[in-house]
Amino acid sequence: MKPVYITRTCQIANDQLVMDGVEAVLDYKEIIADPALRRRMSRIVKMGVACGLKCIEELAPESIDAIITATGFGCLADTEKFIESIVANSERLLNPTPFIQSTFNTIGGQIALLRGIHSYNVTYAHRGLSFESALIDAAMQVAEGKKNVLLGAIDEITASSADIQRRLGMTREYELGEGANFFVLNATTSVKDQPAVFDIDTRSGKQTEDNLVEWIVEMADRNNIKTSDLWIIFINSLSDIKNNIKEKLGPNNNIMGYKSLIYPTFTASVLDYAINMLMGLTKMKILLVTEYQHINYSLILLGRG
Amino acid sequence: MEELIEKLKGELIAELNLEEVTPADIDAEAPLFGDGGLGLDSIDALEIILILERNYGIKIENPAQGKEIFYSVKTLAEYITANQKK
Repeated sequence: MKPVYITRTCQIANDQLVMDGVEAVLDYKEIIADPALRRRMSRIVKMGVACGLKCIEELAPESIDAIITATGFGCLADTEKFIESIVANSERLLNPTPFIQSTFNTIGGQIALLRGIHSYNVTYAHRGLSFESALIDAAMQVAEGKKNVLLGAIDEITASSADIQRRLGMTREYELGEGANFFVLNATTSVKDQPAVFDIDTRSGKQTEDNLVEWIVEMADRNNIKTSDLWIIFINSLSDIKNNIKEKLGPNNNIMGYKSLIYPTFTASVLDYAINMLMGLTKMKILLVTEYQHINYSLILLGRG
Repeated sequence: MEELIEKLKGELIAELNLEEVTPADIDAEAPLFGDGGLGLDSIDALEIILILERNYGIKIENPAQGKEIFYSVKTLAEYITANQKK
């Protein structure tokens, strides 16, 4: 895979906007100026649209060749409102707004409409691998010559979804969260040492420690890197087994665990975290080893180009 | 009629998520759609149809009348008073 440079990052979580690692003022009225549009937007739509718009604020609409978004759960609050309305009104007289806003591609579509971007626009809803799938597509678009590919991930938590996840035992090892993360990707950059994604791979189905070791070695080999030269970050429950894997991988002092809040597209926030961490590493590459609910796994190799 | 106008203003604010508007900001005789009033659009028109059906049991049989009925809060209130079933 050719390196994919990340030329801009933007995150909105806990009512905080962080751009390229620096906290900025979050004013929805300024970012989404039209009050008629803003009033129809649920929390996640507002977060996602604002985050995406801030990420491309310095780019002309015609210079953006693709918008690729990812969401595991979609716009949950609007979906719940729509379903509740179906029940409450005996499947009749349903309000159009929650239905329109509940679709998975609402955020990618709204960003395109607001900025007049007529390019490729796709949303991935692949459960715990939604963001990874979007990243793979974005990397392929960049490899095909597309410039300024806007890649984003959005998921929200609602009281009822948190309750359902708790009852299903999905919160035993994790703390639930939500957030919006966007990135601008390019094949080239004029900035020295710009962060870049060098490789990505995904697996579904429970992976044993041996599977993970074999997989990590495989990725290191195909990128001509020794595993001992990597910073390997084991995310969430994998951080609990990092020492076992460390023994099997051989000598490497650069292994750490990181626990993030969990939601289907949480890998996007972990990527944002790793990009900030890269700023303190001059030569080393980082390998993110992630898992979601012991079902979806990913390896993301990044470094400074 | 005044009471119904105030009730309608509250229902419009709640159902159309007019977060930045108070009942006092709505001129009962100003146009609901287009410039010079609340600036509502076609999706809002569908939401108002639902308010009439759910809350007042009124179904607009002739769509051609819509423009007149939906002109302002006052015209809505007059139509409800003349046709209310609930």
